[in-house]
Amino acid sequence: MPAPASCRRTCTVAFALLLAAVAPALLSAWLHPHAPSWSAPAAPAGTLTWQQAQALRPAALWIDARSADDFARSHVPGALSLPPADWDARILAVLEAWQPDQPVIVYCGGNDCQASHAVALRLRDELALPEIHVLAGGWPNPSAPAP
Amino acid sequence: MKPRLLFAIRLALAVILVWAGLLKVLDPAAFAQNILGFRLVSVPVAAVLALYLPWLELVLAAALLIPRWRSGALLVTALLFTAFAALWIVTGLRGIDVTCGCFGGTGSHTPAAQGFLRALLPALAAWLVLRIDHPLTAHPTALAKVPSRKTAGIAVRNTADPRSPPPH
Repeated sequence: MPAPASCRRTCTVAFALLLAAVAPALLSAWLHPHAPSWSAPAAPAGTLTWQQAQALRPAALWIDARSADDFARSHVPGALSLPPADWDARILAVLEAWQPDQPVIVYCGGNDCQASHAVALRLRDELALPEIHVLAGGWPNPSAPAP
Repeated sequence: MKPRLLFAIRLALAVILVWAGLLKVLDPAAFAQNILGFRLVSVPVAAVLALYLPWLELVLAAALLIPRWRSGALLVTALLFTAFAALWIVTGLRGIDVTCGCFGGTGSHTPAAQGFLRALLPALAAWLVLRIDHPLTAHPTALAKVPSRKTAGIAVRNTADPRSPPPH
């Protein structure tokens, strides 16, 4: 049976392993095509940051484009659920809640989620709503204060 | 505990680490977004973690299977998964909905309890193997009772000579 490792040796090896991961991480930062951003990205055209959306919040109608399950778990207070798959079942409730000239803010699960853009396009093309925005970062929003 | 069982646990931990590390190393930008979802760190810190953690997991996976390095690898693995489990406790208490990204991709919503269990089990396994396989690591005070190599070697040689005084 091999001799048990000393505490010092174990810690030395542990520290060496922690250091060993630094070099490939640095190479990734330099060369990886999907390296993460080092600063918060500016909101793409047609989208609002969380802070910008707060300025519209009292007057705006919030639309949640995620699934009904995600909506039930949590959503922006006062938002209405309108997932693309349930468009026909839920659009009437949205139209009843919408006031003329009221801005609409649509969100889904994050920047990689396309549902909010799909719902925003349908609201604009099919219903001709005048002011529609998409929330950058989705919900839960990284810029929103933790509950 | 049988050596084969200990090896099986180390192998299982290595497989988990390789799987998690490979998936995240392919898209660190997505992993950074998942880290930001926990609302604990800033964007630069999330970027550092997203670049470093996957490679650490891969290094640990390899080291777990190398005898000279496995004690250190077990220690870091146990600490890493313990930190993840603590993170899930904090996330659950704050009531934050997150997408784990633990195994790559944006994934779907991860309940805090599920995330906690997925971190707790490997943590317990790593601590268990570390304690059994490397008892001096688990009981550092035992080092005080173990003579140094030099004196231990002299004591062993002297016991072979009946004329020598007994070792202390």
